[in-house]
Amino acid sequence: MSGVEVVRVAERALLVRFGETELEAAVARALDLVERLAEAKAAVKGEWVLGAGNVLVVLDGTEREELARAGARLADLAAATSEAPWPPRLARHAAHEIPVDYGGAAGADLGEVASRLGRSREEVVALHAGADYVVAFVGFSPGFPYLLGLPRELELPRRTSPRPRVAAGSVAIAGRFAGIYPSATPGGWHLLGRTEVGLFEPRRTPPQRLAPGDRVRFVARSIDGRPA
Amino acid sequence: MIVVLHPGLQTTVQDLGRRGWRAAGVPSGGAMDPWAARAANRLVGNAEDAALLEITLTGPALRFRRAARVAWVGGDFEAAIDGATAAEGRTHRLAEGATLELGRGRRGARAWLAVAGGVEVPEILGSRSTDLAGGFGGLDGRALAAGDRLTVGAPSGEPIRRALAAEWLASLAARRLRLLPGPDVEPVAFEALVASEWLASARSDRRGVRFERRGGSGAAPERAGERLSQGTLPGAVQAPPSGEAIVLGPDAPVTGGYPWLGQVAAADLGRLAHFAPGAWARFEATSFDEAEAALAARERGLAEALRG
Repeated sequence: MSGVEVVRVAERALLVRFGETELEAAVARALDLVERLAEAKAAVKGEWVLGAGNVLVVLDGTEREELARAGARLADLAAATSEAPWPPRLARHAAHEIPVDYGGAAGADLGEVASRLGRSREEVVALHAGADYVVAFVGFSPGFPYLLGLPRELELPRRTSPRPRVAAGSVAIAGRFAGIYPSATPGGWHLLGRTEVGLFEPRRTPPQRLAPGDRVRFVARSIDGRPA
Repeated sequence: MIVVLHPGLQTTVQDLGRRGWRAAGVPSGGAMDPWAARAANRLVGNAEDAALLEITLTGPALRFRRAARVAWVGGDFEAAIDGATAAEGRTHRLAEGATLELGRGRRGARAWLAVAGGVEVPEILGSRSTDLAGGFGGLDGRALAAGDRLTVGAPSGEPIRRALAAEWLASLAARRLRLLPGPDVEPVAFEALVASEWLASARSDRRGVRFERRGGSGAAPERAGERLSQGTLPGAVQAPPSGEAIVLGPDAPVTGGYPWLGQVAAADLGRLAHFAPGAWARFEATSFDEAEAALAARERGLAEALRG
């Protein structure tokens, strides 16, 4: 197990970073930490944001005098986290199946991804839809899930020039992650397809469909308009 | 009822923001200068977190179907009530049918217009603030448009019948931003932040205020560019490869991939709202102890300004 550091980043915010070299191990520990934070609510008052193997804890409403204690408690909880074998089996977490129409206009980059990787479109779909993913964190835009579990064969850097607008429901990949755009936003990921599953509904509680720790699988419904 | 005759450049409903939804990717949002918004609300007798209008660069023209008490704070915006010049930082009694027009900010980019009783819009995820990027909150998740009608709540508290001191109003738009070291701080890059003079870019909005180095581009930090995503906060100073400094605003995404070089002290965070394109800024190194003291002083300053 490697080190963990707790850095004060603002008057009322602490950032916990796990020093694992393997992304999966750092993410597993970060997910474990937020589970522990939920259980230890009274000890660390505030809200958290997960990143890729790190956790930002915002301690709004914490008095200055309580900060040191909250920091020490957080460091204890972080040190106690375990790097479970990947994928982590977290209790209380849902499993989701996301139907996807691959290719066509919605998955405008499927062909380019396939040719850059030296594979057929069908092979790319099979790899993407054949993997088990875990929601590592939600960020970038409300409800946007960063899914860890993308086969290493599909790893590509982000597009050099981001699109000014990516349609809601776009299913995409970049680097180590798969993701789904919950709303129309600018975006630099490679678009493989689209889903009709709504990921963020602000009038619902909770508003997001996919929560950190949830498991996700993509199911190919069609490829380039033909049933899969 | 308020009728929007002309919406202004970007007028949104805001309160003091939402808490507890960052884990779902929802930023805190809320008035970009909470100090100014709290003062405007207090002037008209509202709770400090009542919903009000945030005005950007050019203000709206509004017709009040009912008599109302209003106050606006921030930026020393040109203003007229039924054509007669009116000043910021004090309450104005508007007669039924009166028109309030806000023009350009003479001192800063934004102002907050409070109406006694508060602007009534549904609470979404615990706040009435507009999240423009997410398209929810405020008035249908968007900025005001001509023809919109805003409902006003019933006034409850006692208005403050004096004007806020001119010095306090001027201090809202101070150009000095005290800077704490961020988690990705590099001594050389931090020094360069503090040593340079910066100019606010026109590509600034509620997600972030972009600053360009005066006198051309300096070196970007060594590790500029992408790193693995981590949680971020309003006030985080990020260093993209372009050599600009981006200070995150209340609507910034909750995670980001650029190095987090510094953090603007909470006491100075509201100042970001006031930078119009081309306005200069300076960062000043500070410590957590100094930042805490500055925050307490800012809080006292607001209380004194409202007490007179």
